[in-house]
Amino acid sequence: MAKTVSDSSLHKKSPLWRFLLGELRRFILIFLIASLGIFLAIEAMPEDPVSLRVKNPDPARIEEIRDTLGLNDPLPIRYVTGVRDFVTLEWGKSLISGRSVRDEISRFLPATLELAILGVCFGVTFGVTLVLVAHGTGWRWLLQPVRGLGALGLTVPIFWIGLLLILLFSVQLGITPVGGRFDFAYASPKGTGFFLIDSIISGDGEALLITIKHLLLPVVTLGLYPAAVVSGTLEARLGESYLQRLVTALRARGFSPFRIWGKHVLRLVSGPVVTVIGTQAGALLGGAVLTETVYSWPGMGRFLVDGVLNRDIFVIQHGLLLVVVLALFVVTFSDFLATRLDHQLAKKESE
Amino acid sequence: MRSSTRYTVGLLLLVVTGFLLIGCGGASDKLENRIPSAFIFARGADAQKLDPADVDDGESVNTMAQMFEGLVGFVPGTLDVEPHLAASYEISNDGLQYTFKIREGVLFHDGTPLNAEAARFSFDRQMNPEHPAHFPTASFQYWQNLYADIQRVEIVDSMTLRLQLSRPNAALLTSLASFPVWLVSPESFNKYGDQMPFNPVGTGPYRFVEWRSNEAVLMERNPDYWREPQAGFDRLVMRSIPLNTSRLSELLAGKIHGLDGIQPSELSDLKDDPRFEIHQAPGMNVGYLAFSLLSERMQDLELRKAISMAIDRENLVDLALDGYGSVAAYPAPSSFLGIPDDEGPIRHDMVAAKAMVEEHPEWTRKAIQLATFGQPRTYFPDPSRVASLIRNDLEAIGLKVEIINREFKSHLHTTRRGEFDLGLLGWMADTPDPDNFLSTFFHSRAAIHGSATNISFYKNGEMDALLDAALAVPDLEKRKQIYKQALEVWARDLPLIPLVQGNQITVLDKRIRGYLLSPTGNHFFGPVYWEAEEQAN
Amino acid sequence: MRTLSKLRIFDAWAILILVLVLAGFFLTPHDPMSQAFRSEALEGPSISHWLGIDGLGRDFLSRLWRGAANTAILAIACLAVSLFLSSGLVAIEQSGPSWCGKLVRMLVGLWVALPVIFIGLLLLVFLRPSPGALVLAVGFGNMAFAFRQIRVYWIGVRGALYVKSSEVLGSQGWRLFRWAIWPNLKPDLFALGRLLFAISALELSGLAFLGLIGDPDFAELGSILKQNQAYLFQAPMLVVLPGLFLSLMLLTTHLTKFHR
Repeated sequence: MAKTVSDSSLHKKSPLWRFLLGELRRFILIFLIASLGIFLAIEAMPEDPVSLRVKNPDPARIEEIRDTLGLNDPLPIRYVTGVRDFVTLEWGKSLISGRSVRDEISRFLPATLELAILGVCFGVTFGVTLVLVAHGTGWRWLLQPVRGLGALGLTVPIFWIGLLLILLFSVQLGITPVGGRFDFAYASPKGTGFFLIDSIISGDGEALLITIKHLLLPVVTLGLYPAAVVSGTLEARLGESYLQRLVTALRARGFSPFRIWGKHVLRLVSGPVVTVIGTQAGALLGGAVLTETVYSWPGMGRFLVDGVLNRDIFVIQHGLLLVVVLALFVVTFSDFLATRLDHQLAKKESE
Repeated sequence: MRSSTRYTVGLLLLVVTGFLLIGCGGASDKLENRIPSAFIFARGADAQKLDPADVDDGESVNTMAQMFEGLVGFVPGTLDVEPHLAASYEISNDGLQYTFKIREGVLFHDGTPLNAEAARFSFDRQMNPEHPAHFPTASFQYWQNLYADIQRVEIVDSMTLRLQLSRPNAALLTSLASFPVWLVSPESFNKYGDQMPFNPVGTGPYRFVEWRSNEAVLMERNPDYWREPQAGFDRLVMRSIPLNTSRLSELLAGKIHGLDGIQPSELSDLKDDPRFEIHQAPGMNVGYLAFSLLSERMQDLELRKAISMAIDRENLVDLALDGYGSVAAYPAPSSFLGIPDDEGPIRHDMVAAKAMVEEHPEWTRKAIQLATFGQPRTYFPDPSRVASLIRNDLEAIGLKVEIINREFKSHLHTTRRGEFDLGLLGWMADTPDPDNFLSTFFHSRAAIHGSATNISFYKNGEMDALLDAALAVPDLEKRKQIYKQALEVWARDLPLIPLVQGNQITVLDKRIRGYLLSPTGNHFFGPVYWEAEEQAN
Repeated sequence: MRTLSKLRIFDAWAILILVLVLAGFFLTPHDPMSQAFRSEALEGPSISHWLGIDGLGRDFLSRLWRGAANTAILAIACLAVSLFLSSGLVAIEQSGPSWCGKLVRMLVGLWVALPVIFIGLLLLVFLRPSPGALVLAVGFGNMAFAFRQIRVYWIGVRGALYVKSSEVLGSQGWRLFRWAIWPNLKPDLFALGRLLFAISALELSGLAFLGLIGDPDFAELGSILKQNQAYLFQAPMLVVLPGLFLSLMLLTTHLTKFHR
């Protein structure tokens, strides 16, 4: 991960609105391709999801159910209704539980986002801070644990480290809860679905504490990988010669190390860091699946994997598409951000 | 550089050491000693729906068992039928009329009084496709399988309900004690409409509070419960924790009071732990190996016999079930009507099997496909381990075997079309009646391509006739004789080999009292309570 | 600065590990598949079985050793698939017409958004689970990441001054590639290869851990871990060791990066 440059360099010179328009067009096209891909994948599934959910199926009744669900309509009609349903948020019902897919997702998505966002934040803050402090203070020994941690994040399977952390901190030491999002003896905070925000808004200190306790281990587990990737990228960037020249120059002007590293250098290296996070969005979500499994976290990852395993077609169709759309947002946005940041970088260098 | 390696290895070792401490770590008592107001139980999956008429997964039934009851039910810990919401019942001599006197003074959780009209709702909505509560996407599969002989449901007077049958059905009374006809409050349909499956209203010891899907179902004490003992806890929480290790960790950390669905090999530590008690008993299930008769080579009876002799079923119980189970001698549990309690017709004889293979070199030319699956079931806690052991046995007599491992749904899809040579699968009883196993496995009616439960695709008129005859005979002795004949036909043709019967295992905190394992495999937590404090220490 | 000898020692170490791992195909003390020791199942280490016997009566050292070898080979196969596909895509994107390049970039943008685990799951709905299918799933899954990296390297090298000057001096086609581009691309590609190897191995064992490898007895570190997961409390080594083996193997590859 020595160098990473954004794809959107083409748009650098165009004004903002044109850039946005271009992105929008690209976005819609990708959305259509993705929805078609997912639709065809479901179509090509050899199994009949309706009869598989039943232990002792009766063919006539199954045909009736398929009719009610519109599964016997011609292909193009079903694709168009599928896309229309997705856009209008009419996501149908799960074949297994009969619950509205939209309601389920509105419960599971905040859970996963809370975990993923905090995981990334933890990873990035941890990685960046350690690397910058190590370079800024000249305490080179700090780099060793950073590299060690980086190596750990890239070489240790998530499911394995998750199990070990539970056994150590929850079972042996009893400091943290084993899994789940919240205590069952206590009513969970309501509102946005992000328990952290909800409990702060309602000013409920105890709920906040419970939420944080439950978040601790999963966030650390999920954050290891981004921490590793970010610190790796950062290290590679800091080794580049123009940065070292810049630091020498700034130091010569008498700036404090805090100002040099915490402000100028941080701003310069943030571009590649943002891109890396964008590129790794998919990998993060994959990590979230395993993390959610280990920590019994009621999130999207488990919901979708179960959906695929149960051949729960509406869950796969709309849930997966939503994930793709969200991940696309992240990738596009991070590309955009990186372009902006790189822009500054380009200007700085020419000065 | 070196030191970075050192750090990483150090970090790794630290974690591993901490982890190894668990092996020798003492049992630290973290469960609070006071009487908890909530009982928290964890299982491997969440309930799917809480509508008795439209579920078939054990977890939904286990949840509903705390909130719903039927006209009749099982005496705790047995398969004997006793009146529940009916005060008494009467069966006419020709076996065509079942009359129930409804119990007085019972209220549903929403306050609706129980009477014949309210009871009829739960039957009507399943049998009558025009009924508004006959939800269009529900399968009502059990009605087809268990209750199809019910022709009419009549209200005799406000507290008397009568079922009129089209033909006698000896298995019906036990079926009526099973979950599909547990009584649902008709008011709940008026109130919730098609959201009724998520807002269960019954008559049971606990009533519904909240369902956090993929997390837990929360229930509370029903203060108006009609009989003793009343619910033992203010709150009952049934959590779902999919990963076995995580579930076990919750128990060891003292965050939950009981669990089920873990593998026997994971029990070794709990066995010696004074904090917990392991409840186990033979389950109503059979794990079997089917020969697909659609596969040409498996039509050879000699080959089927050789394979049956080669498999060491005792060894399966030891290594795949860790002793928590038994060899299945017959294709139905021996506690069932007409199923003998002996070693069965299949013998383990490697030498004879090997000799047969040597006589038929054509058997060894192509690898036999053994289809198996990944997810644990009660009969096979780890199906792939079973497959692995069977492969080794068959290779020992000279056959070649290729294991095809799919996840459960794909596996079902394959087996229901008979697309395999050998297939591993099992059956968990819906009702404690031999017909529920034998017709499922051997009736040609169940051998429909694509939806077969007779995955051997075994079709034999003699067998069909015997199975049909057994259902029409109300006399128990005569039924026994007929099932004996059916078993003889099975042993002669050998379309499948029963392998093991897995034990049902529930682990509870030792201070929990009043729990009885039900042979149906379901949990009834109604009578469960926490032992008083002074005796606890 | 690093000395030459230090570099050699480390490379020798890495090669030694690789050879040792691959020796798992020939040298295991017992047959890793045969359940020859059923009666001693779950017994601890002894002279004849250094790491004991697993739950199905197989020598555990043999299984781990073969498992490491299989994991390494499969990860290398994944890496080859990803590199092959992504360099093909880069070639199309760079030399094809502009709409073609746009389309490729767009598809890659989509691909990046999909987690490898879902790609694997979806693929395995259609393909019969097997090591080969896993390699395809992981290889395809990492294609987008590899594409983005290779494209950056390529553009960087292609636009570099020395390449431009060789071009001006009349060098083109294969010669240009062989003498001006390849030498400068090589270190980056090797670094990418190492990274992809580690990522692939982790994802492979992740998918195998979810039970998607087909034959449950196939010795792969993730599937060994899955098969033994139930013995976590009874015989913890059966679960700890596969993970540790994997981590140490990947650590070795990872750390060679600093000795480039």
